[in-house]
Amino acid sequence: MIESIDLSLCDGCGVCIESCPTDVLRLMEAGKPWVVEPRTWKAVIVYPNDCHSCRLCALDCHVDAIRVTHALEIPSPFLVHR
Amino acid sequence: MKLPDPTVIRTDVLVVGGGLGGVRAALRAQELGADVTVVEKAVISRAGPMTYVHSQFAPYKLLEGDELRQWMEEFVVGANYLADQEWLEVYLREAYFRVQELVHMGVPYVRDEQGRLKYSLVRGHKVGTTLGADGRATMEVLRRELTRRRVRLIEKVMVNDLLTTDGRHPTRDRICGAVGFHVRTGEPYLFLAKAVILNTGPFYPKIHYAYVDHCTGEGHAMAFRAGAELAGMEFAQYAAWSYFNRQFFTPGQAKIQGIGARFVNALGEEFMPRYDPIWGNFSGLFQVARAIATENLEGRGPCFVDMRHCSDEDLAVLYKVVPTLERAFKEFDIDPKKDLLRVDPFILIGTGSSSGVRVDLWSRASLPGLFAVGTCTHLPIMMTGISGSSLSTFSNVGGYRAGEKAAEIARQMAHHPPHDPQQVKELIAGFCAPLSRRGQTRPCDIWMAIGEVTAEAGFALFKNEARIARTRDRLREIRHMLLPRVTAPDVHELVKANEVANYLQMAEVACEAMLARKESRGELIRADYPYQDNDDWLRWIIVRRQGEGEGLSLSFWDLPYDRYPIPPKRGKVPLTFPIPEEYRVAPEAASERSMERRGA
Ligand SMILES: Cc1cc2nc3c(=O)[nH]c(=O)nc-3n(C[C@H](O)[C@H](O)[C@H](O)COP(=O)(O)OP(=O)(O)OC[C@H]3O[C@@H](n4cnc5c(N)ncnc54)[C@H](O)[C@@H]3O)c2cc1C
Ligand code: SF4
Ligand code: SF4
Repeated sequence: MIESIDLSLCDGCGVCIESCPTDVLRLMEAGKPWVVEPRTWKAVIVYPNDCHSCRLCALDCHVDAIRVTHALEIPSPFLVHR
Repeated sequence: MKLPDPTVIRTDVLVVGGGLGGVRAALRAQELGADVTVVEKAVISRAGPMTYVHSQFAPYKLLEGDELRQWMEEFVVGANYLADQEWLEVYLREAYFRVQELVHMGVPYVRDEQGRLKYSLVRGHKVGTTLGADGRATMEVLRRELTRRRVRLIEKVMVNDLLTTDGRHPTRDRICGAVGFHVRTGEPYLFLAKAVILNTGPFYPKIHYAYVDHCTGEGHAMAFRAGAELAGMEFAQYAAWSYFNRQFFTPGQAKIQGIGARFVNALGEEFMPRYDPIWGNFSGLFQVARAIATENLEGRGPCFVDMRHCSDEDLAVLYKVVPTLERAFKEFDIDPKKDLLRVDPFILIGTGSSSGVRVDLWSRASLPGLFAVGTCTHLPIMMTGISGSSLSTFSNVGGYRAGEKAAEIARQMAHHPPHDPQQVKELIAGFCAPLSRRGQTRPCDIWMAIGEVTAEAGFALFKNEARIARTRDRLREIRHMLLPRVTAPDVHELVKANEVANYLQMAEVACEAMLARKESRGELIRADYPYQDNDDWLRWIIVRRQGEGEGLSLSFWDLPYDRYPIPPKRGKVPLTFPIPEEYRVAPEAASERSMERRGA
């Protein structure tokens, strides 16, 4: 599961956004809305529940800002039950 | 809601899905002079299944004569005698060249100290060999090759339906293109093509397991809706047991077994020998998953995998080939020398080995103008029986062949075949519909309902006529009652709404095929036919739509054993897996009870 993106490291290059096959991430304008300049772009986790933990984003991040943990939950109805 | 006009792309050959098979098809068609477009839902080289691949089937030399026969025999037996031996021969002969071409393109296969390609034996094979290569790196090389040759790439666009010249689904004529939409902007796309090659990969539910959440069977479903034949759908089951401590999963199940791990139940008993006297703890994926589920059902769960006795050297080897396991152990503070790892199994409807679009020797589907390659086909070289590494090479060989024939079609057609603008409008309106609905039902609710229905033990583990029929009916109910209410507040959810609709349709078709196969073979276990029947069932089940309604046409294709070099072992082979009393004697009462308990 994607856990966090360290925004102090992220330079908004946008690579991870393209790498994610399930489209979990988006690039967004960050910063204080009342400050006009300089505005920066950052990667944001928008759809965390759609992450399938493949780590492609983290592998591609050139500043190693993305943390993907091994935690994973298989939705319980899919485990064999009576 | 007024829908925007689609972006129109005219091309000779349209490839839907940029896995290994699709890219190979594109490269070959382009080489032969066709104008080619590849449309991919994610980004080529950053899309699930292929990034998971670590070994590719690769004969170390050109196979002929007795040797070819020996390799064939291995496959035929592994495929439970359902392989198309003519396809298999083509596959084994051409695999050598197709892999060598990838070597020349620069795919970084593993080499030995002298720099020679390092071939190793396929697990469980005596002759078959594989080459190791990181799937992601393989696809990066191929993507570069596509751009170098200026093949048109359209990424982040999900194709959802095929176009037909007569504007009908199912068609009586031919395929002439496809429609889809951008997964972020929702912008519709219209592709007009002389030939369409499907390579959309396997179909799975979205359970976050094994990086295939974005492969939900669009290729299967769109071919089916357009009237193409599917085959092997009764084997559409996938099982796994490597979901650890209900916390994480890692690949490399066989590697864990390989270092001598033991499976134990809550009583501390080593149970695998009871289910598989020959292989015991080394048993196959399905057997282990089924055995654990049975232990749980009979009150001896939960089950664990025990590596406490494994040596440090063995664990080091394991960590080397499955580095994620070591990292996960660290993350969850697990010491395999001290701790047992809880394992939870699942068995679900999805691509196990083969289940998909029926193709001939040239990767042609049963509709003119349509091709299919890779894991969205019925994998005629296997049909049933899992042989991991041969899948990527089937994509490689089948893709090349599809590209060749598709280019030929394009050459022969002076103009694009006509399409029906009304059909385009209707299909676009159809996949956009969840955007304009109101309500609370979301795609994830449908997935939950599907899980409830398909993971019921009586269905997942020990099928019989009534239980399969009931599961099919309940899936149909979900499709009729819930699906039309699915809402999508944004385009991202719209993608998911269409994905679950496609999966659901295929899950239902899979049930129909399971009902039709009256024996147990490979991934399909039927408690009411607990034997493999090589007298009457060396045949494929072919499914296609009948008319525009819900009707299905089921037919059989008997394998032409009079033409095949490898003869089958005839007779009935009883199932060795012990079916619990409750599912054997009074199967109906058993699942009746379970339905009541869950208040269904
Ligand atoms: C858990 C697991 C382990 C595996 N291990 C191995 C192994 O070790 N060796 C091996 O040879 N094989 C292995 N396989 C099989 C492997 O996935 C395939 O061999 C390989 O990926 C090639 O498949 P393909 O050509 O069908 O295309 P895939 O790689 O499946 O690609 C299909 C592509 O289609 C795209 N797509 C899907 N739907 C749409 C749509 N609607 N519109 C546009 N694009 C779409 C997807 O994004 C994807 O890029 C494994 C599979 C799984 C699931
Ligand atoms: S790849 Fe890394 S630096 Fe680039 S946008 Fe993503 S998180 Fe930021
Ligand atoms: S781990 Fe995979 S699925 Fe999850 S956000 Fe990263 S790229 Fe996307």
